[in-house]
Amino acid sequence: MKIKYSSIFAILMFTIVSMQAQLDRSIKPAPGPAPEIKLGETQSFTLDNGLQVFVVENHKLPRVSFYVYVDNDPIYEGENVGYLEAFGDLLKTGTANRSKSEIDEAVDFMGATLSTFGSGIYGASLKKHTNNLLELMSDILLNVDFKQEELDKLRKQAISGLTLAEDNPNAIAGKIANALTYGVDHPYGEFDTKESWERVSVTDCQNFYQTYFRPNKAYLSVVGDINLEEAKKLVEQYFGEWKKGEVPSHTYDMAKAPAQRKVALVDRPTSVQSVIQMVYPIQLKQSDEDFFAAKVAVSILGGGSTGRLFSNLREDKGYTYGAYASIDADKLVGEFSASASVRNEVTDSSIVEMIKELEGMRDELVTEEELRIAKNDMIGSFIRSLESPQTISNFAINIISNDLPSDFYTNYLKRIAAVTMEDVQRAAKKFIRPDNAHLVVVGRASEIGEKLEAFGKVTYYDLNAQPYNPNKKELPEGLTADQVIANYVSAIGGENVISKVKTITQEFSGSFMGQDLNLTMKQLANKKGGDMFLMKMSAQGAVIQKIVFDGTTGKQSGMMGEKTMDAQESAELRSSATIFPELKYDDHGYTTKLISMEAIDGEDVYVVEVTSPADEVVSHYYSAETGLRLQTVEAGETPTGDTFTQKVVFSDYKEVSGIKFPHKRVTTVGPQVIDLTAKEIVVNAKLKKTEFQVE
Amino acid sequence: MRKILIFLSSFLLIGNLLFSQSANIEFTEYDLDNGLHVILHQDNTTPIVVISVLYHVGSKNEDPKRTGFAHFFEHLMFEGSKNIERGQIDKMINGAGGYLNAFTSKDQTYYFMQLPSNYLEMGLWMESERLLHAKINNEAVETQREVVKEERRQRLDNRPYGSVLEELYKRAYKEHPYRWQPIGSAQYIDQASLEEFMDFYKTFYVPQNATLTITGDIDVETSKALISKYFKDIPRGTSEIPRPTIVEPPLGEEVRDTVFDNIQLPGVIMGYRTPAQDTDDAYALNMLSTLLSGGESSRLYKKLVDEEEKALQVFAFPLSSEDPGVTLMFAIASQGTEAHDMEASINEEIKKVQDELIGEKEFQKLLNNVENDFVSSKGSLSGIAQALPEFHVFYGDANLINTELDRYRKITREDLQRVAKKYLNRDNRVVLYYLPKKKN
Repeated sequence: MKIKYSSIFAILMFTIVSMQAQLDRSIKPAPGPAPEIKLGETQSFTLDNGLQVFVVENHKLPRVSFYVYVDNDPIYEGENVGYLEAFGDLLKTGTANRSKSEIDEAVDFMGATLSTFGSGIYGASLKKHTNNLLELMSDILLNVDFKQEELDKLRKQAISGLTLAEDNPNAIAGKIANALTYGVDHPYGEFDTKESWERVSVTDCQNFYQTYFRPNKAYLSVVGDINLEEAKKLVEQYFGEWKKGEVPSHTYDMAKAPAQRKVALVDRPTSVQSVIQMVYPIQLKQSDEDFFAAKVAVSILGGGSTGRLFSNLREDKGYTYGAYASIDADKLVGEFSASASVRNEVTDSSIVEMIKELEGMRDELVTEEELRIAKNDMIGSFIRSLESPQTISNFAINIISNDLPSDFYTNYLKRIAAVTMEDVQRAAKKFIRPDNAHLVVVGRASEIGEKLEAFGKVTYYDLNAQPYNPNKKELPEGLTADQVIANYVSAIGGENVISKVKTITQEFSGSFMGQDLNLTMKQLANKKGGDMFLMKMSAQGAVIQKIVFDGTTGKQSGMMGEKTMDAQESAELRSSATIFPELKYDDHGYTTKLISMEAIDGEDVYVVEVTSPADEVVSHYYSAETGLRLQTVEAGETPTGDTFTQKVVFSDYKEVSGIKFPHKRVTTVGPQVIDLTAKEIVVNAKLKKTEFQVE
Repeated sequence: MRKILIFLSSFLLIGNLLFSQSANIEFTEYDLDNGLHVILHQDNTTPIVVISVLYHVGSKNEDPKRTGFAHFFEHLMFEGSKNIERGQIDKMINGAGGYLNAFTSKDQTYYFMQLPSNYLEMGLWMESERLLHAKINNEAVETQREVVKEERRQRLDNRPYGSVLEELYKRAYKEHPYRWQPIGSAQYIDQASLEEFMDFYKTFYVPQNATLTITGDIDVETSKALISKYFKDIPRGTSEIPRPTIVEPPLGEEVRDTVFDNIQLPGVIMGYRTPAQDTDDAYALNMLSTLLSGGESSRLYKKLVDEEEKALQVFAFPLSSEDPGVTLMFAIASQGTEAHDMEASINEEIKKVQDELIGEKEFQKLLNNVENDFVSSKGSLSGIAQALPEFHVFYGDANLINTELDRYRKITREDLQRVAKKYLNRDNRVVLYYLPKKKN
């Protein structure tokens, strides 16, 4: 017996030891059989007033929570945006029976939680305080009293809160992203301002309460150490008298993603990181066929530490502490978002990588391994969410609120498991659209602004989501266009000097697309008609373009063919032909207007718009300091009807016969740049009228 | 009247007895031969497990010329091991439907994961791998240097009031390593070499300095066998684990300073030097913080936010720590209020708790809050998985998870007044004004 026992013991010892000796650490342990997933049970009933109640019993801890959720259509607040928040906050600041401090005292005395929002009330406490908690919640729900003094207090806090948010780059990015994604005329895009808070009134709150806060639109979830019978009795007692009413419904236009990617830059000069968000609205509901595939796709792209964005931007490049993507389904309008906070100097590199990762999801099938990880991650996250007893009642409410099939959650895991690599790519092509995103960047514009041009048209936004020209400054009071032009005339030599000029000859050389280029311009004063003008541009000995103007009619010739200009075209040419046209704007019927003060490369300039009788507009930029003209900008049209902008930058002003001429002209038309330097400028050289003849 | 009172109190007593039983967290704890402490709590309600490892090392174990080291090392622990390739730890856990993360404080580095319960063995294998032979190479170090610098920018430098704790602690301590924050200085992170990391690993990442906790859907005996399988043969560390012995001398006099930040609303930050978390006085200070700022009926909130409308937010918070720590008070001004206005109001309230014994009803409110928090803290397996090893390591008694309420119940109203007088005085505090940087 004894021997037997020890031998068994020895064998046992031996197996244990050998098992230990054989432990091969290189083998990852296989999982055990998958546990059975049981969704907890929800019991439900409806009160006569329409309140739908869901009860989840969970007796682990002696706690009970009550959540009243009033499921209205999203409300567009408009002018008085902020009143919904005010309504929510004011709910717990007074009833017909209690002051704010009495409510606070009662909540804190129980050690309970009580929160109120525009969409409902949440209360939780130890079971022994349940009656007191419900009495309080019921008092709030039935007898709320919106007080002016409490609103005034709240308004002050809200305004301070807005100031606080102005300093927070993430809050700024979120606000601008919403405003651009949904538009400020949409409930999801509008935001409160200091001004809107000034308009929020007690009446707004009362109206909302009367109109929208009704039990027939509400769900009550009861979770915790309570059974159905207890719940029925308490709910009837405390919520039975809540009166039902007709509640209006609302629909909104579908928000649209931009046709081309747009860059929205919010300048925060103190930033040491750029907050980047790529966002746009999507049409995706939880009940859609694509829902699970879209979720899996975005999880592979940016769902946590195994997502492609995180792996690339953080683990490979070290650009950021974290980069993520998310996709939200919503019964109104959903949203895609990809985001990261990165140091200033790698802002553009990070965006390049983000766009690459977004495109990668569309262009290629994901790997089996990625698909497996993403699906398991979602399955695991679903299972983990079941630990909280609130989850089950949320499921029940979601099914009704989002019009989901009743087996939505029982089939949840199956539907994730069924997603294929092809499904993922199909969903990615539909929902991941880097070319149609708003690229919102909050950061230090002086360091990152120019580099962002590579990703789309950059628009600067202020903290109220209003676009602005970052170079624009406040004009000095009383300054007029005439004064700016007079300053220019005096800066280049003075009216006395320039009005006596009879001819100007200018020879420029330069390059265009790698070719040497020569430009000749001649002007001859002509008292009887307009000044005469000749412009000839040639490359490698061949004339590319020649324009002649004899004072009345213009003619164009060269590689584009020959063409005599019509009356209107000729009239347009007259001003360009004129020697110092600034002296003759009135005679020619031109109007001038001082538009703004801006900065170009750190130099303040006045912008004067000059409009011809045919309504052609050219903007002239004059240095505030020197008075000299630094550039002109005008819009043009190609023969095919596309519009373009032509910019000419003047620099290197040097005196010739007492008059300052720019000796450098850089012309930019779209991506093309013509860089010209003066070889010779001559004033009052003898020119023959025959040179300007239009045959 | 008296009769009713007696009736009520005995009713309360019964309630408490019932409630203590229903809320009890049962657990098993033991040491492996190599010194690894193990705590197991079985709860089979949901098929998930939480596995955590608490390493008793934090920023206070760092060389002053290598601040940020412990936290940096936390990042490296996600790199891989001898048998787990670089970058596979996250994939393995997420791919199993799990979630994992970690944090580093002044006193500890805490790693945790949640997994579907059938992956328990894999989770244990992974944790044993990175305790036994984590693999750290230069490439990983270089990348994480940049990542951690971005973390610092995101948490501190690019965030309004983000530097509050750093600015406070560097003035509250002159000698003790609490004077720097776990995020450390970017400069020192750049200087650290691979050898230093390996030394740090060999010193602190050893079984006798770790507590392994599992909560959730487990069978205790099976778990013990698995733990033995993967952890038993990990050798005990050979070097002495250095712990700071520096006792920070009293502040002596009030330290007062101004910090200019990228903010518009002024802030007032006060840090009072307070005793270690495992002392009765620390418990009293916890209750005192609730009195001052727990809920909207609390004294500071009611006065500064509700009545005087001077502050947008105000709170008092004990920053509990193993060595003597700091109780923080932090107020952000409402538009148009000056910092000194807020400070005056806070000072008044502090004087009031020092001068007047608090009322019985208010005291009962504090006890009710403590009780609610005590119960609620057991609401999740993750919370339990964190509380058990912390009680074991820092309080020497994991069972405090069930008995901590008794420590609070010993505290009297007189204790609150006494600790207010003893610790919340001017010579024992740092006051910082956070003011807007001047715009140029």
